[in-house]
Amino acid sequence: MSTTGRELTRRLRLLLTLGAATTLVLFFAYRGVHDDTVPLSSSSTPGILAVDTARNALATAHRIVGDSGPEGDMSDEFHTQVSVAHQSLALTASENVIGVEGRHDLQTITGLIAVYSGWVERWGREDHQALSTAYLHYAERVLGLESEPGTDGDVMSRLDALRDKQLDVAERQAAFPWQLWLGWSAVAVLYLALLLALLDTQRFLRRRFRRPVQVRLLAATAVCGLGVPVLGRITWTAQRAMSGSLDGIRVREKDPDGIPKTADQVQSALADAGFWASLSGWVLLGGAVAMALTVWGLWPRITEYRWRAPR
Amino acid sequence: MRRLRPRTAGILCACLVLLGAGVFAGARWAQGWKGSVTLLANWSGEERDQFEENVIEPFERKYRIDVVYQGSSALSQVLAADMVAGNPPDVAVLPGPGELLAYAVDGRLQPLDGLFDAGHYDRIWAPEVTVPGREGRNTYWLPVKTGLKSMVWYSGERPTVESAGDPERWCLGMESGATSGWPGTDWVEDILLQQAGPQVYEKWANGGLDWTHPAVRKAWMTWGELVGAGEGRAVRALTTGYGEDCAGRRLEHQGSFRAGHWRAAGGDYVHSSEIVPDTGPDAGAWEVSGDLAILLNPTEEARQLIRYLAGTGAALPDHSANEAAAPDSAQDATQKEIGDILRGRQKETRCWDASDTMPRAMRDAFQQAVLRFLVEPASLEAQLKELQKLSVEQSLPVCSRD
Repeated sequence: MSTTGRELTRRLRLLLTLGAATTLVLFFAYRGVHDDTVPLSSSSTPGILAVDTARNALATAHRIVGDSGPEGDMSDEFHTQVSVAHQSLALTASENVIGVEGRHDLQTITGLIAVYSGWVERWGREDHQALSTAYLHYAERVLGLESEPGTDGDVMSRLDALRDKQLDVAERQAAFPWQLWLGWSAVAVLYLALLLALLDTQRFLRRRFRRPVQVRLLAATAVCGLGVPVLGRITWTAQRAMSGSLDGIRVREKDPDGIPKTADQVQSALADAGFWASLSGWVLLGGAVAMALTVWGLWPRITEYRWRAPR
Repeated sequence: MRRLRPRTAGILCACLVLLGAGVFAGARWAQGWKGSVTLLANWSGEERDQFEENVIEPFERKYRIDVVYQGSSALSQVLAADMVAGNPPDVAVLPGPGELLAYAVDGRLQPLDGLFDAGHYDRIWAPEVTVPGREGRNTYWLPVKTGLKSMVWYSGERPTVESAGDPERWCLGMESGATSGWPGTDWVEDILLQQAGPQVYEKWANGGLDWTHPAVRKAWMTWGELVGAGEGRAVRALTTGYGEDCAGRRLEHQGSFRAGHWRAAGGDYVHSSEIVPDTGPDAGAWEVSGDLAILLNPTEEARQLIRYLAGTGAALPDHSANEAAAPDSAQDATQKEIGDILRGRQKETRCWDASDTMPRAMRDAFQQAVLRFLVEPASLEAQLKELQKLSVEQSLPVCSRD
């Protein structure tokens, strides 16, 4: 084979190696970020907000009890709020992101709410002043509105502990650890190397064959040159949206009206999370197309210079 | 010497890589869990930490079985809900056999026969029970932790019947979250045990003696007089936590779990028979309690955990009822004495906390009744009649026969 043929073969091998490496590293780096966007928006965040809703509903329920007095009629609104708490916990259970431990926590909390409701009902039925005071006291102790940090026998401290665990999961999902830094740094280096190799090959072909441009190789350059920055930009947007969402839920929302607003903000920030995540498959396809275009562009030239053995 | 050909070198490298990967995967497999078991109990806080450190972690290390522990302060409610939902934990630890007997009768519990030697436990701790629909008698629970009651803690001068008769001397707290009222039930039970003796006590605990029986009524009345039922301090006791600070020249009727508190205050204990008025000839029996492990899902991992809990090597929390277990050399004299009584080494009669042997509805009503009695002692007769309506006859070994 002539020098040109060997040079073309060498360049093809280099381009295919760089193309495959860039594609694979980009694929895993992209998945590393986007695999967590959907769980964060559809499970972790709603789960945390549901716990906040349950907490607020129970605090409201107990405020209704306190405001009504033993002779007041509090049953409807109290039961509505307790029902809200139960529904929120059911949502938390359906979005459970912390596995068996989380499910057990929810079972305990539900049991404690039943105990709390039982004491409140007894308080409502009791005529004896001292006993009704005691029942309300027991209800308050089980609810734990004023429990000290570190206790774990009441509803509120259990809810707080559950929220902390959920938040840990959400923080892991929204994190950008060193592995992702390494992955995206590798993507940047490989991308630049691939782009330079493609442009240099284009320049080589123009000088050697006196053709202004090799269209197929140009198309491969365009796929790489545009695809990687676009995916990088999407990833950067997604990462920012995840960090912003996490900031919104990191501190417990004490205002019941604030929870739907936070939920809307998270929802709109991560509205495209599903679409972004679905693009990971296109990374492989895009890489394959770029490599196919490269082969398609260089192979006819290589065959022209191929050495053939005498028959 | 021949040079290594590139192809041979490549194959050699690939083999080495495969070998390394195999060793790595093998090591990971050996270090990984070989199964899991879910455990529901009511220990939380420091108690949970100690149980995890001394029992669960050694078990996990030894058998490579992951124990998913759930500590719940609403144990009965959680377990009842789990049962109804068909999603119970593999193993649960509950206080008292009354609730467990109901689950066993419903066919929810798996027999533990063959998993441990029931001969190492007194019949009150691990009895053989007959359950409808199942042949023969089976053991359904294993004591994991036991406690001694019938204790009156004091510091300073040793109390007597006379000196203990002043209600002001007694520390009294009824608040305990979901189970508020249990310290009062302990009082009534213990007085009945000391006044009427173990036989009457066992009959009453099993529903064979009416709540309106004079002996039972007398126990209630005695308690009311001792703690000043109907007075302001008794009313305050309703909202006082059962574990609140109590020291000085005061007295406290509480179990062995308060030993640390009173030892720190330089206190000691006497048997409650020394301060209960009108004790009978059979006075001196000890009321005891315990946390019992049950098997709900008979997986091999759950069976292994039961075997481990019954073994003499498990560092169970105070105090083990296993008569084959060696005494803990790190315990002080009081703890050793308590452990010996619980294991029957002092040949004294021990009787289960009666409310723990009663069905759940009965136990809850009993707790409610003591709360009302404290502030409204005149309602006693009506309350006893109400309790009698809930009474169900059963056949559990309540007292030991030493």
